[in-house]
Amino acid sequence: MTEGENTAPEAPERKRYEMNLSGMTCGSCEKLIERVVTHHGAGVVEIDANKGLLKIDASEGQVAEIKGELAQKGFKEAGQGEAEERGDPRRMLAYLGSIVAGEPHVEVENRLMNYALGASVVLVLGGVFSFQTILDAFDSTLTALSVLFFVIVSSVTAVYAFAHMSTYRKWMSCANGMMVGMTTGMASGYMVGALIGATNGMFIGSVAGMAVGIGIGLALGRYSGIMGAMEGLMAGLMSGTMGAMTTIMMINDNVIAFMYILSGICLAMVFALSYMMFREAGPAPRAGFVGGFPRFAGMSLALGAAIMIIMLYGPKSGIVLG
Amino acid sequence: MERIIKVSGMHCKSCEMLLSDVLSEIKGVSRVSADSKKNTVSVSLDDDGLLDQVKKAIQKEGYKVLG
Repeated sequence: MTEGENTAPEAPERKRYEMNLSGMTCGSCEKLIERVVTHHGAGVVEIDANKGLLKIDASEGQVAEIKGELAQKGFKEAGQGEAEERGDPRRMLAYLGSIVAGEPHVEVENRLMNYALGASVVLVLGGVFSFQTILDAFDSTLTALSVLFFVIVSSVTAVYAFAHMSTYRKWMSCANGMMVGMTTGMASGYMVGALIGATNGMFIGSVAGMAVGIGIGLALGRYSGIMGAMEGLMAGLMSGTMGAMTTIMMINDNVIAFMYILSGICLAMVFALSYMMFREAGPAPRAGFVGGFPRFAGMSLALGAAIMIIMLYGPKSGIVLG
Repeated sequence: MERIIKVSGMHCKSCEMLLSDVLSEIKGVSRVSADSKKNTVSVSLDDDGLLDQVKKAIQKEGYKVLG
């Protein structure tokens, strides 16, 4: 064949393109994106909703068309859409709004939120029945109410984080799973250590804080392997001691106000962790949802009651909150 | 004719778009609308005999047809 006889247009050269897509969060997104890519004659090499990664073999023209259609469907390449940037608080607010509205893609969070509210009511009722005993121990009504509030926050948030991670564990990467174990162990250990440390002293506060922190950190961290378990364990160990130390050092310096700040941070941290888990795992249906309301409320009540019993009847080192 | 199919397993906008894309490709099917909140897919069919084909296509994508 001579040069002049070759009249067929040459196929455009294909190259491998890698895109980081925002908005790709689940298996349906993957299927939808795959359809877009193949409809344009390109080939999918790798697609991963957890990483937000799309690798394709395509020509330059195909890539432009694919990007355009993906953008129309709500999948934007990282950096294209301001509202989809990481760290944008609007995304967290939208997530919170979805939970409150009970949207189906946040079913787990919605259920856990309802469970947490229900468990708080159960603990409040427990507190009402035993309020005279609490009041006798702390003298002032404000202190007694505050202590009750701290006990409820520390126990319910710990159980919330525990139930959430237990449900999402299969969808978490090892690195983030370790972080969840560590952070949850640290937050719960610190709260319990700080609370009991303030009423019972350094030794009991540290031991109780460490026990709760280690228990939760270990239970959640283990999903990410031995390293995760050790991270959770160490976080619980350190935070229990630190919590007790902090409130003992602050005992005559607005310790109640500090505990309110700590409770606020604890709640914010649990919510941020919940959002992080949701972002990583995507809104896939969770067949492995762990436990129902009786279990959630029972765990919260057991933890809350244990903290309160130690505070009221546990050995004391002579420092009294009030 | 308009048909409304109850479907479970849809949980997000992508599920809705995926089913709309897939069902729109079936000849004789027009005006597809999926609603993950109501768990429904409504389709306009040229022929009622297409309903089975539509249901099979929904199931093929991993969703459960409830009726």
